Amino acid sequence: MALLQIAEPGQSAAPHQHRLAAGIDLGTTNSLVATVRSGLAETLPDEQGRHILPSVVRYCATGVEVGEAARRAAAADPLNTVSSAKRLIGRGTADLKSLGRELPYEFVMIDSAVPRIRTIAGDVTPVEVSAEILRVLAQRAQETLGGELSGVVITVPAYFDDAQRQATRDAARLAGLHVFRLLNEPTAAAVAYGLDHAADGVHAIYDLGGGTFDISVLRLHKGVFEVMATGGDSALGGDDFDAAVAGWLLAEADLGSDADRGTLRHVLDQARAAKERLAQQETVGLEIDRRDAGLWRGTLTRKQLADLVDPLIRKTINTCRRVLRDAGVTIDEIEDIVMVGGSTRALRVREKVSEFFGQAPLVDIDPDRVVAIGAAIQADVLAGNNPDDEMLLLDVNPLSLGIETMGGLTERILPRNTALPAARAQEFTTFKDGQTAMSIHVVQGERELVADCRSLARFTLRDIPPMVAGAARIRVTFSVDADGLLRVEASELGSGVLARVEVKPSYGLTDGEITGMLKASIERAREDIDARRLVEEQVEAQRVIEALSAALACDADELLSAQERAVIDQALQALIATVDASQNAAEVETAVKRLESECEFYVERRMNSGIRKAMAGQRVDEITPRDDGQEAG
Amino acid sequence: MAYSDKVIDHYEHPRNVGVLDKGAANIGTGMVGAPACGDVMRLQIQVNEQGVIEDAKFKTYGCGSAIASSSLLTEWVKGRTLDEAREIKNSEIAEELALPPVKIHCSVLAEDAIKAAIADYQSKQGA
Amino acid sequence: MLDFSRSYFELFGMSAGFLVDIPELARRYRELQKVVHPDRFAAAGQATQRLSLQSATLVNEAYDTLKDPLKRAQYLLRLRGVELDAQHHTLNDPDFLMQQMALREALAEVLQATDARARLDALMQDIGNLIETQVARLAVQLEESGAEQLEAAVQSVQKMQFLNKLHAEAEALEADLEDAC
Repeated sequence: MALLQIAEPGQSAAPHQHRLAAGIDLGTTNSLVATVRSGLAETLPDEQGRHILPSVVRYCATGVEVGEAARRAAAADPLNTVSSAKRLIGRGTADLKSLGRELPYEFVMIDSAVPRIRTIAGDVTPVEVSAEILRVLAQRAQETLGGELSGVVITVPAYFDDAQRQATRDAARLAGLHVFRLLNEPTAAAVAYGLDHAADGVHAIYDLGGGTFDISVLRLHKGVFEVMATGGDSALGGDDFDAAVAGWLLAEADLGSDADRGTLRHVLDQARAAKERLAQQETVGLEIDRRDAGLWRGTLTRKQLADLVDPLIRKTINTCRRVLRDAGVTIDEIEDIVMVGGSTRALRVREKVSEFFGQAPLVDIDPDRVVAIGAAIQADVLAGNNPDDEMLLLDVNPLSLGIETMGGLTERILPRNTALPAARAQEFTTFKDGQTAMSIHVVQGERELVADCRSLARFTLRDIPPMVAGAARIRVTFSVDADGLLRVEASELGSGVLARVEVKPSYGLTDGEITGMLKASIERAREDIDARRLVEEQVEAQRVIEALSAALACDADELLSAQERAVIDQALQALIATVDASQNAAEVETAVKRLESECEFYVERRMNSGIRKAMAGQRVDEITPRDDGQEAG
Repeated sequence: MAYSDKVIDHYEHPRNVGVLDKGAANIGTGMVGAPACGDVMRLQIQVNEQGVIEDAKFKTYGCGSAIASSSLLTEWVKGRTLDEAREIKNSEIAEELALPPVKIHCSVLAEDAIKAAIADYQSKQGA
Repeated sequence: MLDFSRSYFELFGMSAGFLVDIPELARRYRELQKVVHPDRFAAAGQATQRLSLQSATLVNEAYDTLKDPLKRAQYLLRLRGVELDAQHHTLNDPDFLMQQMALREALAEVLQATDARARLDALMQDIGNLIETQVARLAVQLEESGAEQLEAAVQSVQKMQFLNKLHAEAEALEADLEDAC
């Protein structure tokens, strides 16, 4: 129970029921689910014993296929089979062109900012495709564990931007999952590697997946993982290696890029297979069925492969160098490098990474499973199953966040690699005399021109009192929560006029669209939407009741007067009674809110008491400032 | 050209970048800095006998807005009298238009620089 | 709200001053986050989660401020009632600005030079020394309480702001040079 963790050790209340939780690695090419059972984190297999679920969804007239079956059908039914949806999630129609590859789907551009893929079962968004994958994995976990999941941790590339994170959360919502936290993949890998039991120090995680690359540098100190800097490329991965090889194959086999979709798939499959075989052998023979033009035969050597992929690997190494700089550490301070992601199996990648870091990377956990395992460990902690666990992950925002200033230039407000959660504010002013409105355009990225950054949202601050240009004081505040999700607020300080947005990415689905999809999916599952809401509210109520009871048991005597205690007890009993009696979601929700507002003062008191205690122990060695001045430099 | 295109154009291709002879009697030099973001700006004017600014040069190290605004300003002051240049003010009345925000120091840095340059020129004349 | 009227120094249980034991600060930061971080309350009710989010945000802000010499100095000035942004738009020190201009010009010329790397290293060394000088001055100025020392500290902080910006630009250039080779 989370609130218990403020308590003194050994004072914990009655043992609570173990909560079921799972970690999900929602990958570009493959996805996995893992969970902690009897203290051991492991990935879960399907009925055929397969742990890996290919991230491929095939839409048929009769239903949906997910995983291996869909992947096998991809070449035969390319239009209805969606793979690598993660490359599209949180992206706008305009981004599709810059993704730099032949996407074998038929896109539908309608009024929504989100691209839709036309399939035989209707038009689908990447969010819906991802939701199908999540649904299958959650189902697998629930069947294995024999119960409802109280929540999940879903991993995302550290370099995912706000829109991509929002879209991933939307997918979970569609799949009916409660998300404890979105966890950055490299951080998950660090946890899985048992770095929490390893020596304290600085570690680097090099994560090259199918479609994304991340590098994180983190400091481990007594169970606290502090990410110092992170960087990467959310559109660079093993798929690009395949594409480079495929491009070479097309040229060698005299096939234009106008080859039909089936042939392109065939060439891509051949490219991927050749790349994988070259991890074992020096040379591979290749065959391409060119239909009318006959069969093409050729060979590819390790050396040729290296020439094709080296420019891509070099991009990752340059990013590593920049991240080390941001973290303020040198190469020799790095204790070890952990390799994550299927694409780190490529020998050339390992070679280049060793060369740069001057040491051999760690490759002893299956790079495909390590992220899911880390997510499962974190999910178990967040579910409150290990109240005495000291583990804590302190992550950062991967990309700078800012706004557009007059003239189309970016002003950074929350710089990259700021520890989360975080809030920053900056003041601006008006451009013209008498200007009464201001348009706030929220962007993400490191570039000076707004046009080169990612547009996240736009809103307008109105009713600014007319003043001469430059006199108004407009404060713009950015806050980012522990999931990396952003909220922006603007206010005029003189008049107090306020405009606020929960950043809904320009490329995101609207609430209405999500609700519509939710309804459709529930109808498909023949669920009752009211029944589902009631269950959700009851679960939330139960959570609050347990948390409060546990808290009262451990420190009510210390922090509450008899009178205060009586008020809280009464409110608690009222909620318990409502949950028992009511079949109405709104009623339960109101009762929960009432209880929470009744005890707000108590929760605050506990937090303050926790802070006091944490700092009180330190008073003994009351700091004597070192006076060599060095630490200040 | 829309204002924002103009700004980007001046940011990417700043006009009047350079230096004039600091010691000459008909040259005024203004040197200003904005501590808030560490921008440094040098703006120089060359004034003829009629008190009209014939040429203006600047060098700005700083954020894009500061570069663009000093470039725009040097274009604007050329051919103006010292009095006109001192009165520089953006006093168009805004239509009901929601404009993007302006960084506070950027709105004043170039103005401060031109005022400092004029003061420098006048102190030379007076001396 | 939490009792966050206390200063960042009080929050960390440390005495307010420019000299700070950074490893100790880092240790206390981790201890504080262990108490307030949202991950500790993932299974709690919404009100508790909101409070935890606010507290963890504040602890991060405090740590970010105290660990950096410039931000720490700015914060100390704020505690003494100096509002830097509002009162000090421009720096009036022509010699210092000349020097800044010259350093920036030198930095801009690095890329054209054949010995770019060596020139940049020398320049970064110079900038580093200038920053150290200001830090040393601040350490003295912020220990004193007189109005004159306070005004001098404001000047030093402003100069640090220019120097930090310059240093950041030199670092960006260094990164570009490394990527290119």
